[in-house]
Amino acid sequence: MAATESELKALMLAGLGGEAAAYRTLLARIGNHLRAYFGTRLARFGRSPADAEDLVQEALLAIHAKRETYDPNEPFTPWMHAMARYKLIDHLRRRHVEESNVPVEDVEAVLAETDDHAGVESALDLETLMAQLPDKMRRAIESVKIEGLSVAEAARRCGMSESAVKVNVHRGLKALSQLVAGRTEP
Amino acid sequence: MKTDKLIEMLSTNLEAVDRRQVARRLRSVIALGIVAALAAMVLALGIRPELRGAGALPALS
Repeated sequence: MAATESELKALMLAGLGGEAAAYRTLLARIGNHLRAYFGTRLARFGRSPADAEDLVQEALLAIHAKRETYDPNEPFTPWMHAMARYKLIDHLRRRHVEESNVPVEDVEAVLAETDDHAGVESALDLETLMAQLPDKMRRAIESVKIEGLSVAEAARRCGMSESAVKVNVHRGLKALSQLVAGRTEP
Repeated sequence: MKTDKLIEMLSTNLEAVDRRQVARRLRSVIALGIVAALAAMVLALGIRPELRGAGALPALS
């Protein structure tokens, strides 16, 4: 338990420092925690694993968009849990589920993991979401985050300055997170 | 969308986060707020005209 906290925190700090590999590991592990967390809670309302996967992705986007608000002097797991719990409450509210009581769990419940998600796909469609972004943000994200071009290459291709590319990627991911959070449920 | 694809996207070309950014932004917004509040007060109410002599009045006890 304490090991999980210190491992996740170390990964988070490395990720904040810009280490992509550590960050990828972190997100994958957070994903496994969130899957278990949302899965058991949504099961109570008869929801499918695909619903849980929607929430996992929504929470991952939010965690990414808000990562600069994490205070490195504080433990990481409670911050992650607060984000997850907020997303769960939001989801239940959107679906008008009559259950206002989402308890603050004990540590064991928060730290459970599930990674059997290979076949599960969320209902989020990246292309549809991206199409709703302003042109500049969409092109910046496509070049830098999806095709993996360097910022300099993306700047040349999109005809923006390098700092404009960075700003557009940053704002675009925030906007994407908000689009996901505010989407109307089927 | 598969979660792995999202994770891949989020971690590709990751930018480092400036950890002092939040504190700095908060500081500048607070400073701006103080200046705006003072300006609003001066514009709406004006500075008390007899302020210079206010200290000379006996204190109410």
